[in-house]
Amino acid sequence: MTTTTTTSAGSAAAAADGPTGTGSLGTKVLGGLSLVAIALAVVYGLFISAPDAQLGETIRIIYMHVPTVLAAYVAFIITAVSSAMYLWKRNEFWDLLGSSSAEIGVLFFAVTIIDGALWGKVTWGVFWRWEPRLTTSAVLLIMYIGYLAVRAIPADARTRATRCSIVGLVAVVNIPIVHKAVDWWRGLHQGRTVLSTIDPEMDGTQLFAMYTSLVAGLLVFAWLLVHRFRTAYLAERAADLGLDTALAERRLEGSPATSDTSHTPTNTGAAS
Amino acid sequence: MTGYIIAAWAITFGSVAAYAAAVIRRGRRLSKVVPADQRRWM
Repeated sequence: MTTTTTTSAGSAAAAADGPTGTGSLGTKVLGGLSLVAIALAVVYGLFISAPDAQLGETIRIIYMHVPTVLAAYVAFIITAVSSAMYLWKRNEFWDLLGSSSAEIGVLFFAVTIIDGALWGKVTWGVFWRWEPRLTTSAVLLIMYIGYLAVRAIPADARTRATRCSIVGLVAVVNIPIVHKAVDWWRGLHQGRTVLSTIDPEMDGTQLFAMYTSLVAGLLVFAWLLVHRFRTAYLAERAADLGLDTALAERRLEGSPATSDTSHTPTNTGAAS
Repeated sequence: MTGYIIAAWAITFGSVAAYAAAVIRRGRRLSKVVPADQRRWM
């Protein structure tokens, strides 16, 4: 108990010296740039850009749909690269980077599917159709939710990281399948947009809205990734600290000197 | 149609903002536990 009290007091004192969260000058700059890009995307995407000749006003949903899917793809690719690096180097950095990126990727991809469903309701008359692009997208999302589920299975850090790295490498194979689904099979979804040239017939303001949305999406993703990585790192250090404290307490309980004096008034006073 | 457009933007920004707030809050909570020498950011 004395050890716990000392550790808590030490942590509280140490907490006052360092940063009070996961922010730094770099994240502040990144966050500021993200806000500027978001502001431009909102102004151009919702108010200035003209309706599309084919899509009409629904192009404004695409300004959200495309950046979120691009950010999700980038996130999942980072997870795959980190997974490979972890299996090679066995370094905690790669494990935390991969898992942080996967979590953000799931968020962005879920939003992509919701935005796509809203666009589908306006354009096709239904929120969802089991057509190739949508079906493969659903499978991709489920695979990465599976990645997060595997991460939540209780295990030591090394086993957990190895399991997740394998899932991270398997799941990424689905990205080219999702991407090429519109070419390989006949479906309702329009042709590829991400990783291909954006429609050259788009109006200038539409192009600007699309590109600022893409930049905003990637900046927000980068900002989130830094914060999420640092949070994951802190969680690991806190877990180590908890383990150290528990071990110290166990040693104290086990030592003869402590056992003999454990019920004396002096010791009770020190613990409190 | 306007409702769907607003919903798409609101869901996108709302969910990302909620997630960001949760991550930042968790980071601040953990920072109180972890000693300063183990959380020196670049």
